[in-house]
Amino acid sequence: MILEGLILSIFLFGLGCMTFLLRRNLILMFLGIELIINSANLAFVVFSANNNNYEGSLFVLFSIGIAAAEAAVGLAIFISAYRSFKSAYIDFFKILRF
Amino acid sequence: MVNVMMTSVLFYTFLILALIFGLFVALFRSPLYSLLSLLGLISSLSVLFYFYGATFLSFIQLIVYAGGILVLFLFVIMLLRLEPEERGGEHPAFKVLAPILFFAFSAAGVGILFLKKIEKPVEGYNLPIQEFAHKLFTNYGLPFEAITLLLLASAVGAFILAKRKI
Repeated sequence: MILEGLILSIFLFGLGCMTFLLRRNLILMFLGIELIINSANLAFVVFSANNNNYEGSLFVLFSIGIAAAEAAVGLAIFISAYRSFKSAYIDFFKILRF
Repeated sequence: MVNVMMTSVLFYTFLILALIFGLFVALFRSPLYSLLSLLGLISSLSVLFYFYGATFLSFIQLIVYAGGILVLFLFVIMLLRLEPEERGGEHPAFKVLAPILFFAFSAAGVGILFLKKIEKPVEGYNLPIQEFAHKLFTNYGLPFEAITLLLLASAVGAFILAKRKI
């Protein structure tokens, strides 16, 4: 059970990195980041179950909080950028002010 | 015996489901489909958390992640009426580099796992919620308060950023 969980976590991390590199739509890149965060959470839970130590699970709680904060700020930046550039593609975001 | 086999079957079912949903997140070009696949992935992960003994986290994953964060994404996608990404727009270097990186990373990770020989099985590990909460509010009190401040700051920041004119 330990090994399978860790292998799944590795694959999800790789898929998240691939999504982040390949996609140009900002929302899809955010989803890749969420995938990476979830793979890290899974690894935390698996190791915490393996070592019979719940401090790893505590970190998952913090990690979910940080993911929520990241999603809120990221989506706000995305909305504001979409308003000024009228596009979701990062090719157009060449300057960081408007 | 039947119970153990049942648990094992369910565990592997959700493991494979999580993998398939992860692939869908990476492969779909429409933001909406990708997001719904991420929802499936998070639900499967919550079931996996349950099997690993972290019952509390499995519910938190469903309530906060699926019910909070993903719905926020869904609102934004619906609000802006985003079209699916057209094909062939990727940077040519990334198009080659990203799959190579993915396979190299996965092969290296799985190889290291098999070399390390992690074989201690899970024996009825159960997240002790009382001790968990005690630790959260004593030893990890400062990080906890820092997270609450971060969430407040991000909520105010998001409000200011998304406003048209300050």
